[in-house]
Amino acid sequence: MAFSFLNREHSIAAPGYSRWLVPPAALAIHLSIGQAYAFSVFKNPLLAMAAADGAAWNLKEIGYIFSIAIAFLGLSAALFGHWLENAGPRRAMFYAAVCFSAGFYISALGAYLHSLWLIYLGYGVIGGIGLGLGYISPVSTLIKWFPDRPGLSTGLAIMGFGGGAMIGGPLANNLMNFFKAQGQTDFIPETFMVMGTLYFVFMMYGVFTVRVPAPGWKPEGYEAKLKPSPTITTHNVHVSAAWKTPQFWLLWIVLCTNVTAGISILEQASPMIQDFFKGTIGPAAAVGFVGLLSLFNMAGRFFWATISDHIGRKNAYTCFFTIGAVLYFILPMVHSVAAFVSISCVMLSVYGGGFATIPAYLKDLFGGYHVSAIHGRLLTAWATAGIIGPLIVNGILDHNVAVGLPKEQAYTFILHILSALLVAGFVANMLVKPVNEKYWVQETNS
Amino acid sequence: MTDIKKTSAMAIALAWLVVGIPAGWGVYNTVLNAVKLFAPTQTEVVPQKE
Repeated sequence: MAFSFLNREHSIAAPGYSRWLVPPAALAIHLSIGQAYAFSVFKNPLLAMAAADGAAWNLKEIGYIFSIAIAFLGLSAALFGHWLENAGPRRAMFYAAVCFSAGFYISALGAYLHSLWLIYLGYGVIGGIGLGLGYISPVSTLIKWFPDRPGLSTGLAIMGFGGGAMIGGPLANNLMNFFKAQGQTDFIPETFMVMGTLYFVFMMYGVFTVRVPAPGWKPEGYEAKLKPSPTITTHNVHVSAAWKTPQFWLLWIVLCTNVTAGISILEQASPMIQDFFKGTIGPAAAVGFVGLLSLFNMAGRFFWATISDHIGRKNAYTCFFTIGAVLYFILPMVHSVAAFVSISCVMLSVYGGGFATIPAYLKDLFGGYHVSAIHGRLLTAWATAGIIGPLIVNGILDHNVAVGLPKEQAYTFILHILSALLVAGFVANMLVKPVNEKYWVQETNS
Repeated sequence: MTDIKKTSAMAIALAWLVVGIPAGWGVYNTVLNAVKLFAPTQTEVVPQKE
């Protein structure tokens, strides 16, 4: 295989290697690809650029760039998860870095030539493949390094994805301002080029520092419990068998409902708070609201995933769905800005928790053998939620506007639908039982 | 007898610093924006329902 230094056998940790070096490697990847959540900062500059050229792209057409990227994230995670288990995290991270950066470079050419199709191909398709590969690449490695704390370890990495927008947003804005100040009219291609290069270098840090544990390695003093909990298996399930189990599809519903609810709020956060508190909250304060939601989304990924190590995965999701369903229901009835913001922050923290706890839940049910591959297939729920969420929100809002009803009524209806979706997720989680032994990989030892 | 060389605390701290600095910069920028939400001009009002 090309670039043999990327092979799994070349990334096996030497004795004495600290496992605490692995989460930073994973974070280097996730903080980079998390930039995708900040793509909206390019919306207005791209609109202005197209308008100057007479090409007249509209918001919907530009919105497709992000949608394509998320769709390809889900597809590539599902397709390449099994390959990743054999190829190892270093090779997967390397290809993720190449695709993600290439996506920026191709998009730079697209912006320079004013070709939206090239941007779709670059940031959407190729960059999206980089997102999918990067997202799942450190998961099983972290679980192997932290068998005693799988929630904490994967929560740390996935927290990076939530936090990536906090770096990507201001970085893009600063770069665009810098190039504008230099008198560049085509400042978007330059910004894309610089971001592609910076992210490639940062991701290479992860590529070269990631290590897999030597076969049979376990943390000092760690002894796996023979039967730690009814829903934690000591057996493994092959990816091709896992997706035939009811547990896989129940977790698919769990993830899809959780993400649909969260993404609907995230997508509409800025106009929603301004519509609710007309005359009190302006666009600048709404930006602050969105930032605060991102912070809680990120912190919730680490906090709740770590809590799940102590209370168990099923109990953690019971908390997420109970808290979520209640808060989504009461949010439209809240009359104060402080209460509205506080409730929204908790809602986003459980959304992040639901995202970050899924790999550990999969490990509990299916074992660590193919957990990245199974996680990859489960991420199709994310892609689906990315379509369902905006459809619910925009569909109801458009309908209300069309029939002349106030937007606030639409938000109440939307939030109550999302609350009902979370109840469906609660039921799915309650139905999760241990995987039937007929699906276990036959092995001499587990 | 083999001499196992353990990763130093400094190496671990440096590794975390590499990712901690950009992450901290991102959080700092976000907090700066979030402060605008609680600017002194903000007052609590009843959301307009009709």
